[in-house]
Amino acid sequence: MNAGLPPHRDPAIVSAAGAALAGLAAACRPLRAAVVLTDDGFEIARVPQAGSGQRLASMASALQALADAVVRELRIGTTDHLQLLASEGAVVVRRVGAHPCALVAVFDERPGADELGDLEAAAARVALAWPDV
Amino acid sequence: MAEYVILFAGPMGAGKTTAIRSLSEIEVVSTEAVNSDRSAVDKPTTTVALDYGEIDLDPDKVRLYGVPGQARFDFMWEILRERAMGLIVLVNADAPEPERHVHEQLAAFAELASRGGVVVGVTRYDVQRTDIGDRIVATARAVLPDRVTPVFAVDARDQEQMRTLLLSLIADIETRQALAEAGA
Repeated sequence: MNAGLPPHRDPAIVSAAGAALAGLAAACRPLRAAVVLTDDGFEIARVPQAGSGQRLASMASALQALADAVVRELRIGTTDHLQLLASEGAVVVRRVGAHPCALVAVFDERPGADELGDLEAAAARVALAWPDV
Repeated sequence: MAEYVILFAGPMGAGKTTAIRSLSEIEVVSTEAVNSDRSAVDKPTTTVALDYGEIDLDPDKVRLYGVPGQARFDFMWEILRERAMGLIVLVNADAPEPERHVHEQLAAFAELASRGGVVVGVTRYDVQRTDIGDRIVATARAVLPDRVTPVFAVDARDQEQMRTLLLSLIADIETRQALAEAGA
C-alpha cells in the first residue's frame, strides 16, 4: 500500500479491484461492464478493459450521492446499494464496505439473487484490499 | 410572484457549496463525497452531484443549484442548465490561472448566458489582491462580447455579500426579460 497516493493511483488497490472485477465478470454472465470507483468519481478499475470507465464512474458517483441524500433526508439509515431498472438492462451501484469507494455494474438483463450475490462478493474482495485508516 | 432557478458554477474549491449554505433558508441538500485527490485541491470533501437550497426574496422564490466543479461531472451541468435562468460563476482568486477557469465556465454555459443572467464572483480576493479583477473582466468580455458581465469580489461565507451578488443577477435577468419583451 502506498500511503499518500489517491486510491485510483495506488497500484495495490488498482490491482485488487481489477482482480475482483475479473472474478465478477467470469462468474456473472449478464454483466456488460463494471467499474470500481472512488466516492468522488475516479475510476479505479474496470471490466472490460477496452474503452474508458470514467464516464460510468462519474455518473455512479453522482447517483450514489443523490441516493445517500434521499436516505439521509428520510432518516432511513444508510445506503447499501441502489438499482436502476431499465427496459433493456439494469445498473447496480453498491458500496464497498464503509470505505469511500463503490462498485457499479451494468447488466444486460435484470439481475437476480445470484448476480447480486456475485456483486456483493466482489465488493467484499475490494474492501479487504482497502487500507485501514 | 416569479420563480428563479439559479446555477452556481466554478472550479472545485471556489466556494459554491459555502455560498449556497450562506444564502439558503432551508437545510441545503448536499451530495459531498470524500475528496480522494488532495494534491489537486486540498479540501476534505467535494460535491459530486449537486447542492440545492432555496431563498424567498418576497414575493419571488429563488431555487439555488450548485454543480460540481470538475469536468468529469459535466453531465450534471447539462441536466441542470436546462431549467436555469441565471448563472453565478464563482472563482477563487488564489487558484492557478483563475481567468482560465472563468473562461472555461462561461464557455460551458454560453447558451445559458445568451438567454439568461450572468454574474461572476471572485472569492479569496483579500488573500490574492492583484490585477485579477481586471483580467477576469477582460476574460468575461472576450467570452461574452455581446453583453456586460458584472464581476464582484465576494466572501462566500458572508450572507449579505452573497445576497448582493444574487440580487444583481436577478436584476440582470429581469432587465434581459424586459428587453426581450420589448423586442429589443
